[in-house]
Amino acid sequence: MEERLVLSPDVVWRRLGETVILCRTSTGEVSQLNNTAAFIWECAAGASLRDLSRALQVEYSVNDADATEYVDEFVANMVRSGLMIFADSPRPPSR
Amino acid sequence: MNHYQLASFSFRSFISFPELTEVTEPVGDWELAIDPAVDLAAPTWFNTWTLGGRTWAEFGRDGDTHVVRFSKYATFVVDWRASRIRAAIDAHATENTLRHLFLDQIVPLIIGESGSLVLHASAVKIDGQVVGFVGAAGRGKSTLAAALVKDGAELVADDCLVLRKKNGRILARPTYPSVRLLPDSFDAVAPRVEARNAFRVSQYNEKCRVAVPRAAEGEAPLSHVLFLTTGQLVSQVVRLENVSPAEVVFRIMPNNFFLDTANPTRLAEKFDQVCSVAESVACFDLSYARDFAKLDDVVRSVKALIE
Repeated sequence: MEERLVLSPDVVWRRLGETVILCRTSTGEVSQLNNTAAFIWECAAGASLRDLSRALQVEYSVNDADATEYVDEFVANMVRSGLMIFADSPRPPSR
Repeated sequence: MNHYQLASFSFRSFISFPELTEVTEPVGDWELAIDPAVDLAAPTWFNTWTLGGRTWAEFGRDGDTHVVRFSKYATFVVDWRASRIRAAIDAHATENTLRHLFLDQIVPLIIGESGSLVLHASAVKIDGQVVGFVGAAGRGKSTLAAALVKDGAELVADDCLVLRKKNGRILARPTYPSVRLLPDSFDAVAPRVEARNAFRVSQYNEKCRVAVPRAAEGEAPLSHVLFLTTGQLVSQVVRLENVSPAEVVFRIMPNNFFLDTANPTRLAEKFDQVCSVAESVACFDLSYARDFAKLDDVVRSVKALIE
């Protein structure tokens, strides 16, 4: 069974134009995602890496290898930063 | 006992505030008392403001109480359950310093903690719309506000812009009708001739408080926020450039007042409020020559943008 992603409950976020702005509520730190990263972020809650890669391929007309590479790298960064968490089962989105 | 109201904050005080107009009907939700024996117990310190590498203020919490300690000047204990603020003044601190710390630091922090978004900004009302000026200390927020008031605008706030969202609009609420100006700004834009030292704001800076002839009353929509920048000007006197909503969030988040910066719920609330400003208010960078002789050009440019 593929692991599913959960957005950290420590993070609040808002789409503003083509970007998503994140705020870590434990520190007040604010960060910004570019257009593609924002799309993945909005799809991530309850999704697997495979789900996200497929969604990216459809949205941006990219091939499977490029989409998978982008998603893997982005999610790894998010997990390393504590902004996303892998969980065993789907969870509701944070907003 | 004296009774006062600033934006959404009303209080009764054992000391008099000549900066404010006393309200005739007592409305004081809060009480300010001087208490030399204020009990500091052992709060958990969670935040520090520094200035020039030195601690300027420390913030602590103990249950329903917040403690704000301004190094060398005063300590304020904010008791949320009793709606009571007790102030202990350090030995060499003057009363005008205490009033300044209360009005321009403690009150904005309490209003921000109570649910409003409070920006470190000056603001004026022009043709029914409020324009706010955000910028680093000394960048000219008060000077520009005073110059616009001299030109017919109404003052909304000098340093503490109180905002709330209503029906999709951001509304600004006036605080109190004076600006704080450095001596050179005072000479350039003071609305009327006054002795420069008549009303020194505090013992630790040269600013003097100047009453303004036109102050806004009641709430009005915030239509513009202008970030005062140090951008280089080549041929223009004034330059206005759009700021994206995302960039607005980065700029405003560090410039809003609230007490409990260690409270995740409060931070989430502030983020939401700041995003709402970014989504619904036109925001620009305003670069202008730091030359009092050209201030009229800046005033004209701001008015043209608003109108």
